[in-house]
Amino acid sequence: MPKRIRNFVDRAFSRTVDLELLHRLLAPYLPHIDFDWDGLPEDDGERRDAIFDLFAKADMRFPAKLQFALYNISTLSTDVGARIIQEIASDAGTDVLAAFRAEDGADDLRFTPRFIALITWLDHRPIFERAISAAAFLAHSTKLERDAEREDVELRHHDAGVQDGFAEAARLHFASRYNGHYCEVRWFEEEDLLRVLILHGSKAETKNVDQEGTEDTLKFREIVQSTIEYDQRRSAIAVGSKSATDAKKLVKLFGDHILGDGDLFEASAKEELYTLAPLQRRSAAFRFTFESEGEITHVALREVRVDEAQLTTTGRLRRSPWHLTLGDSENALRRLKDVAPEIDVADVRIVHAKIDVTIEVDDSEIVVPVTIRPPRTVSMRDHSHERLILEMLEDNEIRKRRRTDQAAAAAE
Amino acid sequence: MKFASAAGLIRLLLQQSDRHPIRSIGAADLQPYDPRFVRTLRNSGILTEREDLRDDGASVFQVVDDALIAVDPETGACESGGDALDIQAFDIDIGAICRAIREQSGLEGPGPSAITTRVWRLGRYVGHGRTAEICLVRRLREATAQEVVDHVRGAIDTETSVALISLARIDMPTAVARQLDAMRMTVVVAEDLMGQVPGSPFSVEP
Repeated sequence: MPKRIRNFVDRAFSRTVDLELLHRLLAPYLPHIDFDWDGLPEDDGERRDAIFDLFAKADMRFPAKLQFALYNISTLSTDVGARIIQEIASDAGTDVLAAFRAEDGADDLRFTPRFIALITWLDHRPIFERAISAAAFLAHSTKLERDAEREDVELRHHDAGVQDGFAEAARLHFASRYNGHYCEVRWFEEEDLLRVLILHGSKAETKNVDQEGTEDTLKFREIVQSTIEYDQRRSAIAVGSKSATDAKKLVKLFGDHILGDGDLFEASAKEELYTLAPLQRRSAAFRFTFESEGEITHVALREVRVDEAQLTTTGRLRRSPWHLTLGDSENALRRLKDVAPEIDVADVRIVHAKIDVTIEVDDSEIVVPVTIRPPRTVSMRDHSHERLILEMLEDNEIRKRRRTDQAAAAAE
Repeated sequence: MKFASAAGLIRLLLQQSDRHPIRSIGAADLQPYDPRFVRTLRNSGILTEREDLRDDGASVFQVVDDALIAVDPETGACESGGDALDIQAFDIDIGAICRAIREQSGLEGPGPSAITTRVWRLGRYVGHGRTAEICLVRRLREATAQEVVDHVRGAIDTETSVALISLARIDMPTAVARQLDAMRMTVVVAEDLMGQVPGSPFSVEP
């Protein structure tokens, strides 16, 4: 069963989905999916059971357009998705829920993220399209980060032909790598951030499928999305892509076409962006610091992994034959001291640290798990608070500030 | 062909044995030394070769044409750098080092035996009209000195002189240093004693 439909095989969905909205979504496809809406039982529970069965038995016979709609709706049917939709809608001066709000302003429990995604898809398609593009930038848990080696570079994406040149170069790259033909580039500007979304094909896949009772093969090339974010303030680029090779190529293409220097980010590929040295120095006494009145309300050190790998004087990385991963709900280094007091944290390598960052959002708290893996990687499932978290890591000297920042600070 | 001195390798073995857990020795670390001496260490059980590392818990290693490729199983990202030597390692057996010291120094009596995880009793030295029990101490630090002294005195009767051979060079805390004379104990640094006798690199004479 296709993944995008599987998301709808969910008891909670069939019990809670607004039937009127679902009917509107499915209406154009009812003859193709062999579903008789008018023949549904009268009883609400039984109607919903029939809907559950529809999605449970769904397969590739669902029309591609419906599959695509379901996939996009499920992508935005999360807390983060709902937040993106509402922020984009309010910027556009639209209230996607206006038609459903009770006149007395009573709290409407139907307004779940799935309801919001569904109504936006049906009635506010331009807002939905913008939200799905924005969500793409949150999809990659790990991004390839690089800093420009100079700051005297200017963005040239408004110059004639530059965007087309970049798009063509990207198309050529993906065409030669995957032999695919589809490549679409979209540009988004937001204060000091330039975002580029590249939709492109990936490796061809072949699946053995049940085609109306007979065995058949299905060949397809999934369209995946790569993202580029260029922060003008810091001259830093972050690329999200399924493949590290594609990410590196996009960094080069962006440098070449948009900033006029393909090697601009090369030097920082070897630099240390993240370090866990503060944890090593202070060991069990290490605490994350953050503003007491800020949005971050708590940071827990959930896990550390230590081993004995070390860089030798000749520059070799001597690999470790052992490693120890230790978790704790609050402070893994303090737990390590209890469990293995003989281990001197300053004398081992901390391979990675996993932290839980608690952030206050609209009077409630969300927890964002973040993994820090020196020298250059940080991963987080939810990137919607990325800047806040990266700044906190900078304040704790875990994310290294750019040299120019240091020079500026020294000058002050 | 000129090789680095055996004393350098002995020093490396002692330094790595003083860390916790005892560090392995990478194949690349052994390259500068005479392979015949390295073989002697392997024959005596001081160095034990591990199987080539297949992974380090985060990356999976593959050697292709002597280049090392580290693959991240989660992302499929490949990084190449280094060579096969980076995944070849030897373990140090501290018990075998104790046996080598005992044999090459002609110690007698009980030993070698572990008194604690930090202290090994190597045997009795008799010579030049003196008798002393010899102990090898790992991780002797200011914070652990009192505990080490207490353990040694608990295990060896108070009449005999004891020489503690420390793998690390430390300044003993004053409170502990004051007790040493009364307890007929001395502390010497392993590095200063070993490597003096040709052909017997682990020989010590307190």
